[in-house]
Amino acid sequence: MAATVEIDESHGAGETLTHGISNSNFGSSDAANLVAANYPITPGNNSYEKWQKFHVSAMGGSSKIKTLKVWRTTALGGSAVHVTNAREAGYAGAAVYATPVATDSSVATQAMPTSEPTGANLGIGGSLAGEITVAGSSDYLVHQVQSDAGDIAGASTTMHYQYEEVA
Amino acid sequence: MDNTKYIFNREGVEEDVPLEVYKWVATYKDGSELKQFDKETGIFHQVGEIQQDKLARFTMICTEEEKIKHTISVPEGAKIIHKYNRYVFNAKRPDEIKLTIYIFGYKIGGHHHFNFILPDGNIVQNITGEIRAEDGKWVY
Repeated sequence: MAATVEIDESHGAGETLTHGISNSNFGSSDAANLVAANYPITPGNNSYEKWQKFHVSAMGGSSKIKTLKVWRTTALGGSAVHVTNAREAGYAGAAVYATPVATDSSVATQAMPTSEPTGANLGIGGSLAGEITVAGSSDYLVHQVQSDAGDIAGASTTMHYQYEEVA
Repeated sequence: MDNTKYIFNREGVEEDVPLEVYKWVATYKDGSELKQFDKETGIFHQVGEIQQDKLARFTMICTEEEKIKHTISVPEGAKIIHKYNRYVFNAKRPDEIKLTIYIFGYKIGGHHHFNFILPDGNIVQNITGEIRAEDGKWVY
């Protein structure tokens, strides 16, 4: 790969930043790289929001990174929903960091797409048409799992990413 | 095996550039060439360095097997398109997979011609530039 791209995650009131997360597990704790089994989400409750960014730590000879896409697959189970601020239409611009909550997110308000979007659904510099031309980060990807009282253990949601790179 | 260390000089700051699975060579009308990864100099060239008005052909070469190459003739007045679609499937899971689709073609008179080198080496073409992953298949 030319450019070096990692996913960073922010937590806490003071925005503790974890670079290059090793997993994106949702749970009942506001923490990066958590072990889901240790922080289960009680049916009917929500996970803590995830506040993540695409971070280009090195351009590696490339001139731009653009057209960020995120989507999910696999069965969530029951009537749980995976919500996000990512969207192709009506993108609200760059979300301003706020301490992650386990109440219904006011930022992640639309279902995460279940197939690859046609165009960008996560912005750079507040715009879906934005570009990263020097080492830097995307807008926040804010997402959350909202479960239902009838949901059962073992449901999963698997994330996929795509971006364009011009070298 | 190409063990050359390739460098891109970005306004005086050197960046290491790892080899790609496919690399391009631009061939000019006078027969001279500009290579994305120039083995003789160790310099990495961006596609923006190609002198479009002098270009005759654009070739994508498989780095591991250089006899595998795909060449397009570039019409007069056309502008080359070259980019990567980077995919991360099953992100941050033990079964995470990273794949790249190599895209090359040209734009002329408001029309586009795209070629996609898929991860399995197959090449597909279209005029929209759209390609998506859907249920384990590529849709274009």
